[in-house]
Amino acid sequence: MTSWPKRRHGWLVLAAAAFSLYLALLLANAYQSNGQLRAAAEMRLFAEAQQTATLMSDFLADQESFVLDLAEVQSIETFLVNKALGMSMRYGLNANLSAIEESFRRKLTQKRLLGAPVYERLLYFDEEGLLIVDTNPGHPIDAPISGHDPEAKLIIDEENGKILAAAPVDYHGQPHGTVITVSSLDLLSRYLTSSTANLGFWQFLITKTGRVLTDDSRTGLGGAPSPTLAGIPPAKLIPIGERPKLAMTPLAADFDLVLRIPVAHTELSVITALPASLLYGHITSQRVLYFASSVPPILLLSALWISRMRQRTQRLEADVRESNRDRAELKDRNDALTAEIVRRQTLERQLRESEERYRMYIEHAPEGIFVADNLGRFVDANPSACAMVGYSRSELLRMTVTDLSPPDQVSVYLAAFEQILANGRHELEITLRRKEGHDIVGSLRAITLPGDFVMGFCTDITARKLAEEQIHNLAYFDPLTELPNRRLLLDRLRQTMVVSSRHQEYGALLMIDLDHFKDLNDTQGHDIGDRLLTEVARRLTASVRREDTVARLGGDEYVIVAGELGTDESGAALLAEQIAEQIHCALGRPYMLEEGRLTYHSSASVGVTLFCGQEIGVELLLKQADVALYQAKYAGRNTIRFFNPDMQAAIDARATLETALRRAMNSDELSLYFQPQVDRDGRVIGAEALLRWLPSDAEPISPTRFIPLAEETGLIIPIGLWVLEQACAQLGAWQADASTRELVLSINVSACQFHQPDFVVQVQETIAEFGIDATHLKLELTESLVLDRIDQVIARMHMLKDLGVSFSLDDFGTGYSSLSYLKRLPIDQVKIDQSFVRDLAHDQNDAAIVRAVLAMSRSLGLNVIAEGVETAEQFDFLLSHGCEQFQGYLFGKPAPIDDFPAKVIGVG
Amino acid sequence: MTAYRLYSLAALLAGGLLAGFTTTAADLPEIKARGELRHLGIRYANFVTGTGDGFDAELTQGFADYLGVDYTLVYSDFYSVIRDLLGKNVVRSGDSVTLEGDFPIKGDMIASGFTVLPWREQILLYSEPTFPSQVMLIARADSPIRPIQGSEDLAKDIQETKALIGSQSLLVMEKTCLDPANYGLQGQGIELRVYTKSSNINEMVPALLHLEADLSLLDVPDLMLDMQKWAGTFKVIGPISEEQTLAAAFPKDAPQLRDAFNDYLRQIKVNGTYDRLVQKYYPGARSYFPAFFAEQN
Repeated sequence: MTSWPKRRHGWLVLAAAAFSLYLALLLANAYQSNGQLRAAAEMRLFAEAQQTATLMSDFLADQESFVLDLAEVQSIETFLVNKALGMSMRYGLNANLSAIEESFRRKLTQKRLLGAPVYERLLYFDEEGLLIVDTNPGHPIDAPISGHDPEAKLIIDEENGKILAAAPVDYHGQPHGTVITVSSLDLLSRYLTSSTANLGFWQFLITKTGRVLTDDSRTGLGGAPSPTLAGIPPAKLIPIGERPKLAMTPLAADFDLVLRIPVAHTELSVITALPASLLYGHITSQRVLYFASSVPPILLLSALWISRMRQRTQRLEADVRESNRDRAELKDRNDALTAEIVRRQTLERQLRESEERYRMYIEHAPEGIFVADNLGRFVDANPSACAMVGYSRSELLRMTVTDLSPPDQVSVYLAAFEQILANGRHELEITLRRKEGHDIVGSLRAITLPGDFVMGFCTDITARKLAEEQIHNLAYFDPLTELPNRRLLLDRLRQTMVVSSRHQEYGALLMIDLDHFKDLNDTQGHDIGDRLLTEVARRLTASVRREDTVARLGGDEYVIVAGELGTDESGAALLAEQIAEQIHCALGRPYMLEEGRLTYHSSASVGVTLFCGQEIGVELLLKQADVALYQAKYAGRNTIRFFNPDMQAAIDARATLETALRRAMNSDELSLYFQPQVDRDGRVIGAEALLRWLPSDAEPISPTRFIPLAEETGLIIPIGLWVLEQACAQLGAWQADASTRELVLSINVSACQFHQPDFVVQVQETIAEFGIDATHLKLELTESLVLDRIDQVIARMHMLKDLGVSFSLDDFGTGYSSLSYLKRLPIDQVKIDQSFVRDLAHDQNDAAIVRAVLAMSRSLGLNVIAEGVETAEQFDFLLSHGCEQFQGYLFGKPAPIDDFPAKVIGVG
Repeated sequence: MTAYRLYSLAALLAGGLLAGFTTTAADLPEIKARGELRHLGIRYANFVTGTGDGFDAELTQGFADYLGVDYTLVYSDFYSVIRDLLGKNVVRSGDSVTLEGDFPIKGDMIASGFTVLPWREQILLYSEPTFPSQVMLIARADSPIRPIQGSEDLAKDIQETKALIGSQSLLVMEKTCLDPANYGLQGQGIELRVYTKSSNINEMVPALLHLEADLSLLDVPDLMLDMQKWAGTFKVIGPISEEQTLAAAFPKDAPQLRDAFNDYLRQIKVNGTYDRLVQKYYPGARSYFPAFFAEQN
């Protein structure tokens, strides 16, 4: 602070010296600048006037260019092309003239200058001077124009104040008329700086004769030509006082100077008149300059004083701001602390409530809930868990998870426990040993909890698993011989063919039939016959490799699938023959069927066919083996025969059938038959639509023949769509009649059709097309269809259910019959396959399946319909076990719609 | 002649009664209750385009707004459009028209550059005219036939044009405005070639250029577009028909819907919407048919 006065003094001296120097330089340059400013002002005026003239010139050049483009528009060329074809103006060419006029009108709206249209009118004269297109028809043309001008040109029509641009139309080198644009001359005045009254100068446009084309109120010429104006030398600033003739005009009253700039390529000129004071301004006096030079030091001193005062004020303001900021910060922290306390109190209360809620849930949850630490020791269990395993809670808390495991499952438990800890969650089916020693099956879902705890939710599914296993065994194994049945055989055969396809190895299918078995059955009784069948099964199983499949198709018919016979066909044939010989020998040995009786001698016929890959279908392969077996029988039994390729004729017949089916689709040979479905009281509640093929020139062809063929060839897609449309049409007819409105119509949907990407849309569109109530349409799906890509199938089923469509699971019992799948599927009905119904009264096995299906469906809340009901005995059995709906010959055969009983009976 | 007329009338009444019993078209109250107007449109010139807009598409969309219901465009073709409206197949025999069979009704009205023809008036209710048209005879550019010069007498021009056909093959499309039965061209020794590869009139010029026939019929709305699109490849020989009118068509049992449409049409002619649609889709039509549009205004 002590050095501040000295430093200030130094700054003041330095500033005084600088300003003195500045003033000296200022005065010296003042005189020189004065002259330069006058020259610059004149140059600027000259440049501005020249720019105005250039803009006008460009505007007029643009008009010439526009009219040339107009003469070449596509619509004119199209008109001339058609005209050259000889078309009359009345019929044909007038359409082209309309197009030209339309394109002219578009051009009119496109060309604008400062927001206003440039052109007033566009015209097209033909080569004879006849006006054929005019954007302003019906108005006189007062401009001096015609259609005969051979060249493009620009005309300034002074009399009418118009600018005309004309261009000839050329087609194949010949003149075909003229296109002319008309715009107002006033447009040019828009380029003039004409708000002159305020600016102090005035611009106007003259022709070569000196006639003023724009506002000439100040010239006093009254629109007459003026040689005086025309005679002003171009591009030169002329003082009006130096020209006596000019000095006598009214211009001299307001202006001192005048400048004429010609507009390029025209005979027009732009005249600018202005007073000298406007151009040069007032000359600055020396006294004023001296006075002005004393102002800077005063300003400097004032600035120094203000700067100092400002610094003091700023410091004071900064202190106040600092103080305010500290106070606000303190308040914010206090508020945040209070809010945090409230938040934590709320959280603690919510946590307590949440804990109580979850405790209540766990205590009352129907699932068994176990909690263990990371060493597997139980730390908690709910009452359901205790009831499930038979231990009390205190007993469980002294046990580990492996204590609940059967001895052979300990490693499974440990692996699962490790997986839960590693992944955070795991789901599995697990066997639990209860306290009294019984094992149960549980569906366990486990998750990890914070603090390395594991929580498991367990449901007892023992009953469900037993039911599944029972149905599975009934469905896949022959109860007499315990060999795979036909269903499982087909599955194994497909698998073997897949493997064969992958390794390109041959396999063999052997079909065995016992010779004269029927005689044994008839003479010795079924018990002895069954013993022989069981012994044959044992010998066959013993004769083949472990990986081969031995199955019993039914009766005395067995099938063996042998894979991996090598890649060489002849070698494979040899191996297959060896297997067949072994079987033949094994079955040829005597049988001891009953103690104390003579041994029984039997023989067998064997049909063999080879396969490699999946070139032919499973059913066809079986057929080939069957054909070979037939040959063996035909050859006198007790022998082996290979499939004879000559039997290909049978396959050819299939090809013929396919061709006929394609033809049938186009010649209305397919039709729908309707088989009634009834309730417990025998009332008709609906029908199943069944496809029939009725050739016009042959016997009807069975659906079991042509439907698999249609599925193999893809013809099932158009056929299925046709069935859907026919069914919807029939439903529409029923719904229009009060007596049949409530009937439900079922149709079969093949897997191929259902998996089509647009199947849901097809159903939706067909329903909409026929305007039916979709709740009466039922789609029958097979188990194999829904189990293939089950997630996609379920999603589609839900979409269709949203439309109102219902589902029936067809042929139930013949597939997996899995309860867990059934629970997931949104089906409404289960249909018991007719194969189970057929032998219901005689076959205990089938009766057991039917009972199991009915009980299971009831527990899942599903409706059940039995198909193939033919006798009162079957009906009574099904009725007594809770079946609600029925279909079969007992109630009506499939028949054309005209014979459908609903027509007569109606519904309640 | 009287007996023939009585027979035709009896057939028409029988067809009408049958239609009444088996199908019921929706009139105004049903459409308002349903909340949806189904417009039967045919892809044709700029009346209904493949992208769903067009003169008649916008016209009918505006009508749905006027009624306060949703609008749905249902595509059809000239062969099926009446069946889609009435749920009946049309069978023409000479001047008599009968309706047969039962089919689903897909729409409430037709608006698609639909020509007013006497036989159609027997089975449909037409609105007031929505657009003018005329049918022309066209030939490929290289055809030896020279276009007629044209005069003030249209009947004479039509006669002169028909005489030029001679024994040359003529491309026509049945059940449309290009149906030769409408213009007395059948039984005149003309080799008529019915175009069946498509039901779209827009394809007549390409078909002619692909040598399907020596000559073809073509309507003016298509002509106005095709003379720009196929300039220099075909020529207009002369008129085959008088000036025609196009209009929206309704079932006979939907008079309230037709009357509502006429009210709407009058309203948009007053407020300028109609002029805007004509300018948007047929800018040259006003010059081609000055008399029609002078009457509209």
